[in-house]
Parts: sequence; C-alpha cells; structure tokens
Amino acid sequence: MSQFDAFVRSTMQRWSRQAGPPPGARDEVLRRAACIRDHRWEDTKLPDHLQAWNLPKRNAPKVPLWHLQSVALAVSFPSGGVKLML
Amino acid sequence: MEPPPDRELVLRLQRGDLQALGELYDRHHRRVYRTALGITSDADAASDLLQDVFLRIYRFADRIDPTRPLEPWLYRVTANLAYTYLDRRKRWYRFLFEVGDWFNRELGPGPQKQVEIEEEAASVRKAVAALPLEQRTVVVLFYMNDLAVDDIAQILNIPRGTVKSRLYYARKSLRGRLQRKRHLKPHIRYEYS
Repeated sequence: MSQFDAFVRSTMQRWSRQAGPPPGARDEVLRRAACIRDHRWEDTKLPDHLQAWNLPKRNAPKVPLWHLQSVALAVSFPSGGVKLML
Repeated sequence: MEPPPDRELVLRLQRGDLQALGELYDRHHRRVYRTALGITSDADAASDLLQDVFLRIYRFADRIDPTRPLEPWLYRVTANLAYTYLDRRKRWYRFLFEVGDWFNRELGPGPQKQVEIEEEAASVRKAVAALPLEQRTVVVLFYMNDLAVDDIAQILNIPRGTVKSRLYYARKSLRGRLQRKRHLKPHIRYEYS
C-alpha cells in the first residue's frame, strides 16, 4: 500500500471510529420492526424519502432488448406492435 | 460459545425473530453507519439510513438468500439508499458548508497537535465529499471499510476495472485537493509528484 493510501485510509478510519449512531438507535430499530411485524405502519415513522422500499432484487431477470423493441414497435405501429407483444 | 453465523440469524429473521435482528444490528451496524456517513457526509442522514437498512432486512428477510454472505448485500443496500437519499434531497452539497461546523462541534480544547490532526482529517473528509458520487462510494468502501477491489466490484455490480479506474481518478483528485490545502506531508506529496 502506498503512503498516500495509508494516509487516506487511516484518516477515514479514524473518522469512522469517532462517529457513531445516536444512543438508542438499536432500540428504535427493534421498535419499528415490531411495528412492521404488527402492521402498524403509521408507527414505523419512515421518512417520506425512504418509503419506496426499492430494495435491489437479487438475480432479477433483466428486461431483454427485444422486449423494449417490441414496446417501441407498439408505439410506432399499434396494430402490429400489439401482436408482437402478445 | 460461538456466535451464530449470519446465515442462521437470517433464517431466524425469516421466521420473524426480532432478537435475530438485534444480533445482526450489533454485528453490522458500524459498517452500515460509516458507509452511509462516508457517502452522505451527513450524520443525521447516516442515522436515518442505518435505521432503514435494518428495517429493510426485517421487512424483506424472505428475499435474502441465507446461503450467500450478508455483508455485500448490506453494503449494496446502504449504497443504494444513500444514492436515493442524495438524489431526492439534493443535500449532498451541504457537506461543503456544514461538515466543518459539525466536526468543530466535536473538537474540544486540546493541544495544538490534536488540532492539526483534526484539521488534516477534516480536509480529507471535505476532499472525499467533493468527489463525484460514484468515486466517493468506491473510496468509502475501499478506504473506510477496507474492502478489496473484487468485493467492491461485486457489491456495486460493476467490473473490477471500473473500480480501479474510479479509485485512480479519486486518488488523483484527493491528492490535488490535499496538496492545495498543504495537508500532505512532504514524503507523501513526493510520492505522487
């Protein structure tokens, strides 16, 4: 490892050691998880910007290019395109 | 007694065991928090994201493959949520103005040397925060979390070469900024001159 790398690494790791979540964060996670378990969604206090639950899907199949092409065809040529998509 | 492996905790979590969530939190919350903090440069946001990551683990436990390591999944979710946060709130620029105050708040009166160390650290953090988001994420995972290039490639789902390239340009940018601030010691500056 270069000295520059070592310098940046030690500085950033010192930063991360100094920083930490506020006390009580663990209890709050468990409390909100219990709300989810009990379907008390209003009590989960999820911020608006985190409501989407856009979790990355593992091994999710990617949309094949031909599918996008058929959609484009459907837009351009409705009758032919619909048949293609079906 | 050996602590249960992540796999076992995930299986318990899939059965709705809240205690397993607590154990996973104890084991992984630091790396999740520091990753979120490194990317967002915002302690409040990092705390929110930490909560959200572990709530997602609970909420979507059935989607987690217990046969695979949990850590890459955690890093990926944390990075994705941090991106979403930055994108939606457009608050990433706050670092440039506020992080200095934030760290100064933590600084107590102390010897001059300590002040110098903190100034140096603040400069590194500002330089990291000024990196483009993609480079910053790689830097946080590489330097702060000590992850290997291959692991980062897997987490971010990008080629190994892309990770190396982002690291290369990030180093170049960091070096430039730190040199301008004169926070690089001569022997480190020399290394890149």
